[in-house]
Amino acid sequence: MPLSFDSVHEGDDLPQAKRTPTTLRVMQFMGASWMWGQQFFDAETAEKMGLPAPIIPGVMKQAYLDQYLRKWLDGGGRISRLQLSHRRPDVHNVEMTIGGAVTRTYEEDGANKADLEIFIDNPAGERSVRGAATVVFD
Amino acid sequence: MADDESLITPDMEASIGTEGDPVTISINPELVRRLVESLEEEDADVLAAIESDDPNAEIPAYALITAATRQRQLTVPDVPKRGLMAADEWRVEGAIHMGDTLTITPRIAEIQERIGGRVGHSLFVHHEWVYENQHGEVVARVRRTTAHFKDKHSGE
Repeated sequence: MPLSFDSVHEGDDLPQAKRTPTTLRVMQFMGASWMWGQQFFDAETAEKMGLPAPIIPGVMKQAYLDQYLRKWLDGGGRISRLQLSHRRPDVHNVEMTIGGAVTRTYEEDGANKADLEIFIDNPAGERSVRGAATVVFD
Repeated sequence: MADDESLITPDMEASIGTEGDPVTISINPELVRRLVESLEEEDADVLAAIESDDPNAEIPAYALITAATRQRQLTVPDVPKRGLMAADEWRVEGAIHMGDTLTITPRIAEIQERIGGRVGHSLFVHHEWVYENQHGEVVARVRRTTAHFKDKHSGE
């Protein structure tokens, strides 16, 4: 059922979701975006850059968060702002936890809006992405 | 250079607000379909939109990623070479459709510095790209912040 503005309150946690970007999916993503940074697929390059292994492109994680928020809205609104701060790398084939919380609900320019904090955590519970979003309800 | 001496040079400051040449791209339906598959999209509306011939079927803003290589970053004078991507932001102001023709205009939006703090003296360059569609409407503003450090930084 589409999410309604009336059902959203400041302090609400969004249901968490799990994603595991496999090497195959990362390669497909790179092919579609033509982003061929070697740190995304080559272990030796990643190691030289001080990374634990080939990493997930930041914009792929941004797309995951876009999907996560649209699933939460379930057709009840749209994302007008999605902002991410990249704190730590995430690597291939490792499960990540995506979550968020409502920080503010308000009316602006005749539209019902909510501000959210959003995040991605790695399996160690470390925050790899910290972000914010604004959604506009129908 | 003393640690509290500004990293922002006059040339750097003068570059704030500079716009680059616009480039025109089209939202390629096949690339969007590949991107959607890579992201294991489950949204039935999105899956229907990418298979639809309806030019009004809206697709997610992440479709802009298919044009990422045309989103060129302007050169900022005197910026330290050592740096990393710190943040990304999409502001979506209008609908995006398969086959849209978009003009991307790059801009150096802002430059800030932070003296002291967890990672030492650092410089933040905010690059912005404005996406305008074939009807002259701004549909998205994409902002990327790159962080540059005076000293070696672990990437954390």
